[in-house]
Amino acid sequence: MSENHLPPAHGSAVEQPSALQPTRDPGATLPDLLEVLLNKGVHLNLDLIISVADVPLIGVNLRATIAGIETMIEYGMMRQWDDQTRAWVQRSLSRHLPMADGEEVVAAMAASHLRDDFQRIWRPGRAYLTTHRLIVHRRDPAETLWQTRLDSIASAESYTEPSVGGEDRMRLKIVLHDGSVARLSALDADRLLTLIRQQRQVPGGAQAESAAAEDQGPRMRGTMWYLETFAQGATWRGGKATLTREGMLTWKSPLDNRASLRIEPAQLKAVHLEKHSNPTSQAQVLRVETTSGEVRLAGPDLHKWHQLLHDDTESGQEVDHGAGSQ
Amino acid sequence: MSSETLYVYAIIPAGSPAPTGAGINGSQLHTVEAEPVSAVVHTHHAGPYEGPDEDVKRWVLEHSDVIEECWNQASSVLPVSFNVMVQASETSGATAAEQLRGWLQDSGQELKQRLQELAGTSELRVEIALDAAQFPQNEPEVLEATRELAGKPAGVRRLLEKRLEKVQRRLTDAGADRLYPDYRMRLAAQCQQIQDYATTQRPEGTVSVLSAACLVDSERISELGAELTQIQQEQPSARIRFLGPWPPYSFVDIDAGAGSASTPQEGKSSAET
Amino acid sequence: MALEVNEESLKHGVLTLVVTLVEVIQEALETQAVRRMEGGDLTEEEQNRLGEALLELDEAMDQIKADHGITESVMDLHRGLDDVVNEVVDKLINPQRWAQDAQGEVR
Repeated sequence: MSENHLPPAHGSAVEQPSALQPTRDPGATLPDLLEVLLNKGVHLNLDLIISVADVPLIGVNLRATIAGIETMIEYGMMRQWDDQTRAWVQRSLSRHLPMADGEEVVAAMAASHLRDDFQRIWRPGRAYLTTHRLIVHRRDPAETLWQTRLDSIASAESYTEPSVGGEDRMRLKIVLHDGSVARLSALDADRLLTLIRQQRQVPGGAQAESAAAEDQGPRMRGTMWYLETFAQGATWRGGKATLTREGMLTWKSPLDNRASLRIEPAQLKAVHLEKHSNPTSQAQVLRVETTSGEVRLAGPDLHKWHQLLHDDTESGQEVDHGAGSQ
Repeated sequence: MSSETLYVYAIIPAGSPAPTGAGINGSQLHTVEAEPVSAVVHTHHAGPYEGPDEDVKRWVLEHSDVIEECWNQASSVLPVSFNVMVQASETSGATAAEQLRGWLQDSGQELKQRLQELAGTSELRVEIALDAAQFPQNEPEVLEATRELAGKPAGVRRLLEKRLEKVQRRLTDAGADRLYPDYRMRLAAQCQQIQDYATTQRPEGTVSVLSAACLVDSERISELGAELTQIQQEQPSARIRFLGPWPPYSFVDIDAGAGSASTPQEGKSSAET
Repeated sequence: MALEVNEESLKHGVLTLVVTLVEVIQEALETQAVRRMEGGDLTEEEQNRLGEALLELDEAMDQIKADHGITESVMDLHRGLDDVVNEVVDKLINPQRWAQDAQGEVR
């Protein structure tokens, strides 16, 4: 990224021959002009208006559909639709797998249970994780191969073992409070394990923390103001900041098409809290120094953001001692 | 609807010269003045303009011509959307002109302030896209997929080409994410305000990086142009459209009256340094 | 607004709509075919048959559009549909843009 953002200097009287000239050619700009004139400009309202751009262009007419969907969401129709679909799945399932009142399926996937009495045999079926139980069920011929109540689970962890075919397969080991052990395999064992833990906050094996954390979005995400610099002065703009697990800090306004701020871990040099006027009720803002300049952010939980980013710079190459401005 | 209405084109500072040209369908223009602003209008005897797309296009262009003329003559202009009309009040019996004057007076200070802020500015539109075939051409994934195409029968090639296209778009989109912050910052440094918008026109085979309406000091348009030239030189696969200068259509930012559902406002607060 | 029903414009409009919808369906098929191919579900023979069918459809569609002079209007409608879909998706995944919560935060 170059920091030389100035146009090339010209000593001669020639007027910026290198500057791209904007075009006003109606052939090229007509669609843009139409769009702007139909959607922008002063909208008078009050009761003295007859009409605001009610033009029979198909683009405009199609937009009415969007308004319709918006209304649907507003009135929760989508949710109702979603609930109905879920209820239907629930009903069709309950025909072969009886459920308790208020019990709901959280996840289902192809799985097997290891029967380990007089002979070791993997019996295939489907694993159902419900709000109450973990079940391995075979549909045809119908048989519940294994099940437990979630509150009977003492621990759940994953391990790998070579399968008959010689490949390493991931298995789940479920230990119950009564000391019995069940072994399962599942199509997406990782996900099943994560969900079991989420559902019951089961204390896992050694790497419980990291495995559960793997699956959950960014490290931190929240409302944030970003100070954007213009030709004259700067403006605080509202949006969302995200710190990903990989340590990338982004900020995006809901009105923009892409994130305006994107700081890779390697670009992050230092963070400071400093006094600076901003739209929040707090006096301090976060100043983030990067390899290509600095940016200012303001918002709730600033200390937590500062802490996280500060730790990142510490674990990186630079150590910052000047952050204690509080 | 047969009662007399006023079709509004623009708001200009009071005392500015009235436009000399004609309005839509050759109608005669005049101004309705209410210190400190006045509205450019024509007297209208029918309902809103409706009809085939070709007619609508022509009317919209005639509408914009009037705004252009105001923009060239008056120190500043607030463009009004197409098809905005003021009607006489059925309840109070006020004429259309009285209604409009009343509104101008009520919103006068706000309108005047915005006019002052927009004086000497132009709107320019910048659209930067990346050529999806050119941008990732040296990525290993693309080279690999291209190699696979060779010597395959036509039907298989058809599917492989589709997949290659998908790979190219994904890589180009990731590239656009990386380039956006830099471009946005560099353009903002040349503008008074910037507003992203969804592109209406996408040239085939490109991925949009940034489409923004830029409010620029009319004297400094060439500086914005120079920045774009710089970007073009750095990034040969960039396809840049640079449109304007136009009156500040996208920066009117005024929602006169209460409770309308018009264009979303920017999430902005105080400006400062 | 009175709807203009003249036979020519009706045919033009309906044909445009049908051809555009076929294009949309073809895109869905292509996406599915590519996904299957990536998943290794298809033999090269099957890939080729599928691809050739799509090629034939390409040609037939181009022919129909050229014969009836609707290339331009299909492109417009297709783009319009894409825009609408994008807007809906955007609205669903990015509700703040519409709720304008960025603004409500301060005061």
